[in-house]
Amino acid sequence: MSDFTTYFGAFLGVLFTLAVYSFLYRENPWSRLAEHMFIGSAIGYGIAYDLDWMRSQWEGRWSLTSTGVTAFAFALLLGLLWYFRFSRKYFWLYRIPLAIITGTGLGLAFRTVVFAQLLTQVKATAGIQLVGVDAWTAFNNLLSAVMVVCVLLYFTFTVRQTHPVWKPINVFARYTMMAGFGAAYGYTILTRMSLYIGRCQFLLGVPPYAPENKTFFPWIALLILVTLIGYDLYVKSRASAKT
Amino acid sequence: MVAEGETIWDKLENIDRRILYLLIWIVVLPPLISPIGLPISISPSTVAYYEAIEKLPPGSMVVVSFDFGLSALGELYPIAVATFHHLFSRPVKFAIIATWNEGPIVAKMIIDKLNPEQTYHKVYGEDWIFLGWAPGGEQAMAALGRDIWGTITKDYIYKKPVSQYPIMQHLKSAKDVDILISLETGTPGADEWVRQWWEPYHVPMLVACIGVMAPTVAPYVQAGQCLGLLPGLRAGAEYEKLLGRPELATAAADAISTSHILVLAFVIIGNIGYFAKRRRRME
Amino acid sequence: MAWYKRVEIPIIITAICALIQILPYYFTLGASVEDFQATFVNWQMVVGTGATFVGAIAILQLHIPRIMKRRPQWEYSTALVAMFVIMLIFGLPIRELGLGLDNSVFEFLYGNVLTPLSSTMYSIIAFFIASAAYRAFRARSLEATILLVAGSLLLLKNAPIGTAVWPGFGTIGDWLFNVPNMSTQRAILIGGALGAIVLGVRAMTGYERGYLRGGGE
Repeated sequence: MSDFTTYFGAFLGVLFTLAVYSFLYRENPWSRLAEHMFIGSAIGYGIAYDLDWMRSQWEGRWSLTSTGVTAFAFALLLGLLWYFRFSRKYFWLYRIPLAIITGTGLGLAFRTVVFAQLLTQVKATAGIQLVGVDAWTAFNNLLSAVMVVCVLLYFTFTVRQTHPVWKPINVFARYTMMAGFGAAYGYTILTRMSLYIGRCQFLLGVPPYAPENKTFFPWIALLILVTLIGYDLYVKSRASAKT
Repeated sequence: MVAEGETIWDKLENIDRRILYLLIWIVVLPPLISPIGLPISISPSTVAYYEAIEKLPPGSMVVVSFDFGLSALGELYPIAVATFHHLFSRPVKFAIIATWNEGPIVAKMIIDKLNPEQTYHKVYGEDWIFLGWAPGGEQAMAALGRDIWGTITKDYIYKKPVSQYPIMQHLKSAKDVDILISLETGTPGADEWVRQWWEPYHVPMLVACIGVMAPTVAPYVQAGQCLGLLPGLRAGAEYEKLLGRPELATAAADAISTSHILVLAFVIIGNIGYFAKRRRRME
Repeated sequence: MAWYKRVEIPIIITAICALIQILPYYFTLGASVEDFQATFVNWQMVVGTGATFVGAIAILQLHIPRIMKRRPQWEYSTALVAMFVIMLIFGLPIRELGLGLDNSVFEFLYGNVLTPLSSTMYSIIAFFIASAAYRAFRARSLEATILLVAGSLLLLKNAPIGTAVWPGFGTIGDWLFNVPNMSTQRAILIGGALGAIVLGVRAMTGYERGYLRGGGE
């Protein structure tokens, strides 16, 4: 990469990063520009990847046999039906590719969900190890099984839970869930902070990010700050002029 | 300044959000500029992830799937780099795929950084290959499981038919895979891999995910469907320590500490204000 | 209503496509059926990819009139459309013209525009979640206190300073993750699996029709 491309790339990267963060002050032209550029580039990028995959499928698979050519052409024809989503009159045509995709996705998930996410999980709960392990592990294994059962029973809405036996079950299930969601909350904070730290590393040019970022960071931050304050004053003066 | 009728407890409960935001900048930037280097203890799940790769027999076939986009760069990029270092340093073969269309960008960033030909003397197409992306999420996973050649017909870097590469002679479907590593942020991710690769083909799985997703992977780990889990950036720093390659995750460790302590402080301050006000109301 | 417009037709197609995937998994129907099943998955991926422009059209339907009629914020819409067109043109898979995913302009734009924008957009949540922790995370009841204490202990487990000060935070955090969290998530997983099975049966039998409305209508 040439020096200009490196510097210009670093400049754009820092500018757009800080433009997004300027939203923290309040919504402003920088953040709006960043938001629109993001949507535009993400859609263009997504389509480019889709088309690239289509071409490689055509060249590498479907164009090799006459049956393949027919099947590919038919798939493309069905693919065109998606665009009747924008027509009230021909909306029924849009449902055909939708039904194919939904049906296949449904079938693929349905065939294994019974084993992978139901029976295996039930088996893992029921098959707890209480013998041959230390007392603490045995206790945790038993506790886990009880917790799973109680939380499942808590969500059993098909039975009216009026009998007194339900009360301790529901209380224990709620405590279990709160402790579990607490753990999930801790990890949520970790992720959000990590993503932010990652951007800070980018701004500071921590390797492997471009060291030029560090040079641009304070200047662009200053530029955005000054323009934000200026924009704020401009909006306020316009508002007071109106009143 | 405390406004009329407003107590210090009210103030404590209603700090302006922009002050909180500024505090976050203040606590995160300094430890990144000059790290303190607090010790990082290694958790059993990180050891399990490390051991699973370390104990792969020579010649094993690994598939690394980028099930994340640019949104998770901050957390998963360091883990992905460390995983690649680990794989390149072992006598195993591996293929890179992506089920998220931004995945190839991240994979390419890592490959450009590592330069495996020179650093590890690994030959493209023989020791490793970058297959690229397939659309459709779970459908793509199912298709890849059954027929990799037919689902991704050309490699990502040279756009040559995958059948021309020596490594691909040993990698035609999920049946040829010894271990799958999913670097993931959500859907499609571990849930879908368990349905499409673990259940039909019993391919062992390792998951490195953003922290948010870690709780949902826990049942798979306990049930033995997933051999190891790296939950988030902290685990990434632990993994770098095990590998002896402190990089981005290690550099971020101190900032993780300061930011977490700040959030904890926010929770405590908010609750002090809340309880003080409640006590006054009761009095 | 003409017969071909009836909603029963897509329902039948859904059921047939689902059964193409389900039946060969449970019954031995021979290699040719299994090959057809696998080819069908690849084929429908092509059908699905045909929808690639649907999102773009929906977005452009909103922004093009805004530009044409100079409505408020049309300048930003221009930036959106320009960015979309540039990305699309340079990313078109016409390698004979030097375009495609490895085109230098396309690479420059995704590296220096899309990458910082996408990763920063999601990182900004850090600020909102910290602010929410301060404003909403209150020990109002025993349940809320358990949530708060468990969350705080996990924060100390994930922060290297927590485990450096007292390694017990790591042990407690691991216990919270492996016992209450795992149990809760497993119960959700089992419940979700049961729900997915029921939803699947309902969709195949035509009781579930919501997806055929195409969303948002």
